[in-house]
Amino acid sequence: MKNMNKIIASLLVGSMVFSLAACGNDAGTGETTPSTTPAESGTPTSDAAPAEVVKPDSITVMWDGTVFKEGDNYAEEFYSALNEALGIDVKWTRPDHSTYGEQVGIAFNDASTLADVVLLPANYYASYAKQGNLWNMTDAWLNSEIANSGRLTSVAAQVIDGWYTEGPDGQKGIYAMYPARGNGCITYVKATWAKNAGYDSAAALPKNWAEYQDFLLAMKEKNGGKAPVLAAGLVNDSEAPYTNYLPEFYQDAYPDIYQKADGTWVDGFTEPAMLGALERLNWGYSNGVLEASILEKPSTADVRNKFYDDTTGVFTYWAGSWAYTIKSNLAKNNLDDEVWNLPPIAELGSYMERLSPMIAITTSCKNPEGVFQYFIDPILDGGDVQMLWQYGVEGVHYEWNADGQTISGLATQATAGTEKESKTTKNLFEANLKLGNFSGVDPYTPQDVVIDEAFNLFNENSSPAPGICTSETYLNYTASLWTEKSRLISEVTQGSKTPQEAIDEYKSLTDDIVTQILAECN
Amino acid sequence: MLCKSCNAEIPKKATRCPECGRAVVKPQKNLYPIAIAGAVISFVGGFFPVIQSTDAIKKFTPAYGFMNYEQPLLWYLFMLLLVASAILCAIKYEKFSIITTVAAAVIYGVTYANIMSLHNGPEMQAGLATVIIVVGTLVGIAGCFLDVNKNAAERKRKNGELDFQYTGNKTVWQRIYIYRGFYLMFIPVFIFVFIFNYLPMAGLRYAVTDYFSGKQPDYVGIKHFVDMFGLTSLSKLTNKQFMAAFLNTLRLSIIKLFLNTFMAVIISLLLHEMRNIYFKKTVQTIIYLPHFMSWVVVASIFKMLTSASDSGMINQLLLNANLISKPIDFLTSPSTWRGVYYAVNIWKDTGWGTILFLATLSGISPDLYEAAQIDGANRMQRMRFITLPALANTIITVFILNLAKVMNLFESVFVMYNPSVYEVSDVLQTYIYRQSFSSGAANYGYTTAVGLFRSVVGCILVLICNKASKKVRGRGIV
Repeated sequence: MKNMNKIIASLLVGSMVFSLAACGNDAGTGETTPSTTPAESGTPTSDAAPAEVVKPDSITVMWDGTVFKEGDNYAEEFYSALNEALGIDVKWTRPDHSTYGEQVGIAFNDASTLADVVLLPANYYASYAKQGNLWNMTDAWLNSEIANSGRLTSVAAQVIDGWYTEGPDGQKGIYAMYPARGNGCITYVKATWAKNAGYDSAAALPKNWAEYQDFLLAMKEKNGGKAPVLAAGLVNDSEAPYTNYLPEFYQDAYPDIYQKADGTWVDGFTEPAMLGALERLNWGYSNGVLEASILEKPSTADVRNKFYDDTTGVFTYWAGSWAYTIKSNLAKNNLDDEVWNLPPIAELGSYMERLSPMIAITTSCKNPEGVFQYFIDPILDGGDVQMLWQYGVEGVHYEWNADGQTISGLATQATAGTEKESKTTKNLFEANLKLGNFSGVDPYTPQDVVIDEAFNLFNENSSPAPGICTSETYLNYTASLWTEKSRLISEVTQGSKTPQEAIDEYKSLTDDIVTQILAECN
Repeated sequence: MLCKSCNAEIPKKATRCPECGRAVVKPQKNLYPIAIAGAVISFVGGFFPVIQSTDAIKKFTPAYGFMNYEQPLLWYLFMLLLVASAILCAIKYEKFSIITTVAAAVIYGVTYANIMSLHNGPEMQAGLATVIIVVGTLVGIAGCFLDVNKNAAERKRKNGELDFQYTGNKTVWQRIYIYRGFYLMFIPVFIFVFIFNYLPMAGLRYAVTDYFSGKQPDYVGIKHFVDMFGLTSLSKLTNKQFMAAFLNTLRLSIIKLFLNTFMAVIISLLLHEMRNIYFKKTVQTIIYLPHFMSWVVVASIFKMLTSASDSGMINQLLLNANLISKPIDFLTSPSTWRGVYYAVNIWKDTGWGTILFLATLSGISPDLYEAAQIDGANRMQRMRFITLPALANTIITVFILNLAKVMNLFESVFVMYNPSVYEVSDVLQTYIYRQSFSSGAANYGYTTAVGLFRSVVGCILVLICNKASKKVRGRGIV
């Protein structure tokens, strides 16, 4: 027995020693090849002649789920094809998509392990640039092959203007880029539900708020009393633009600090437009057209599933390829897959185009010029590398059609051989949204007409979302402000406060903070 | 208390050990913790500003202290000396600890003079560091004197009565050598605990800094504590949310603890009364199972059951039975959320909580029940006069042990709350989570300050429970 005790004790001690040893890491991995470029991180590189830029041997990259997911759609094949095309060993870090924002925050705390290139959520971009976490790529962009190629699309200039943000020195510059427009949400309406409510065609859909109210009430009444509208919360407080899942209810209200057309910064939550938005949300909930679980802040996946399983009939979500995904999921559930796109109602005017996530080079990168020139610039090279980023790997994600001009997507890794087989439609960005054209023929082949219809509607009826405030006080209090705003919006929606009471309460708590923020911004 | 000779448990008021007959000499209380407390107070004082701005709007920033002093070596030396003071007290070399405590105070004095000459001005005022370090030094020195005097008096009083069977008249180093095998085995554990439990405490220093992702921490003195406790007009919102989270943490935890313990006792008593062993085992298995389900799954199930939408089973049942005219917002109304939260907690953890009580109940001698039965006691009387008194000590023990953990509330709330019920559901850990991860501009300095406050309150609760445990059980929990 004594011996047994000794053995057990020794094993326990041993296991603890091994677990300690296992905590060590190889500090050598993730290092990039040192550059011989004289330019310092965070400073413009206009003095650096192109000949001095050294091609890195390896690059570390942190990315969310917006390129092919590992184990889901042959990501490894994409990685190796990209390495081959670039001649660089790209080392990927792919945190879980749903907690990506948190992982980015944590990653930036340790400069020694921070990746050279990080895909930043849109609302992180401005604050990280201001804090000096990102390399200023203004000159690199202006001197880049793509910027001077003449292949930029007609809307690119407007989008690139949106990339300019304030740096740590207070000067505006480009601290990150993205090869496509940000896209945005449009409202999808189930044709069956609308027809039941007496709306025979897409042309008969409501044109203004009063008609939209009647439409929603009719949808509810004629579809078993089911609330037609559901969104991932009453306000999307984690990602700008915060109102894009309920645009008809918010209309011209924007519940954050934003810059008006005349250049002045205001607090949108205290503007008269917000009173109207709160009243509309309250109307929606009290009349049962907003599904009750909206208050529980369901995930976007929950909201999608409720639309797919016919619990709801109106769904505001991303334009473009999501239109096809929605249609195919309805068909898989043996429901009528006809979905109508709702043009923005008069009071809304246009849907909001978000600032896209941004590809940034961090100040931890030892060779930012090299990383820009050999990794970022080629994303829109109009040739092989752009094909990889846009469509994936030939023979794995797509194949050329017989005409030699167009391509067709192949079955995704996760669904290949199953009943619910899906085809790859894109890799990082959609063809319709790209900022750079191909040098030759764009091999884009629409999978389904609904993708183009949804995208065209959005394209013709969208305006850029307001920029994000970067004042120091705003950065300090943004989480607290959003907690308060989310709570008050919920309370008004439920009817426990009137819109005016909510705004008065908000003002009494935040007046000093907001005054300080606006003083810093204006 | 345990006998120093035979290690047997000695009843509270006994004068001799019931096993070996050795006289019980209750030792005087150690006083060296006072000296250690002095060193700790001074150590903490080192984080506070020596001088700070008088501008309350800017939360008394800029501030200058050891952390942003141009010669950090002095701060390291200051901390090293105070750690040495604490260690010297712990190994009973209290006399020497006076030297290190005073030396640390002298180093502070030098730093104070330098900082004042560098940064003092008309808009600056003295910070809290000086007061705290002076108090710490005085407490440290006083503690040493008291302990040294007490030891001398005790040695004189006992006059060789000490039982050296365990302690011997050997020095600390000799004893370490004698028991070197144990110390060797302890080394991996010590390293493990040091790396994972103590080393991370170094991060607490960020509580006095502004620390944004990717930026170097910037010393701001007491700025975050000013924010937390609402000492300026800009802090009104922060203070409201922080205090709500703090009070919710206490309220939710303590009520949950009472309810869970109460329900566990009731169910244990009912199970104990069951005669059919198979039925009893089956019930036990069923009520244990929810404990092994993750909070995410549990929350999903209860969200489905309680939803106010058409898919909510409970609401649909009530509506169909004409008991309500419109669905109840179980999880989105401040008036009902807490009730649902407690109910879910009872469902999940009550079964698991019964294990200790059932073990205690199975240890009650059947003779007692038999005797009571002969005396004519009915079932309720047997439960009241035999079972419950036998269970009382375990109930108190379980209660005290769990009371020490009341500040650790996160997952169960996180998966069940939503913006509609922030006011009644937000607890300190969910508040910290939102402040850290809900935007791209998290100030880890502020969230560290809130975490530090939570730890301090948790530590005080542990000490209170330890004291209560000593009173009730005769020995502490730490």
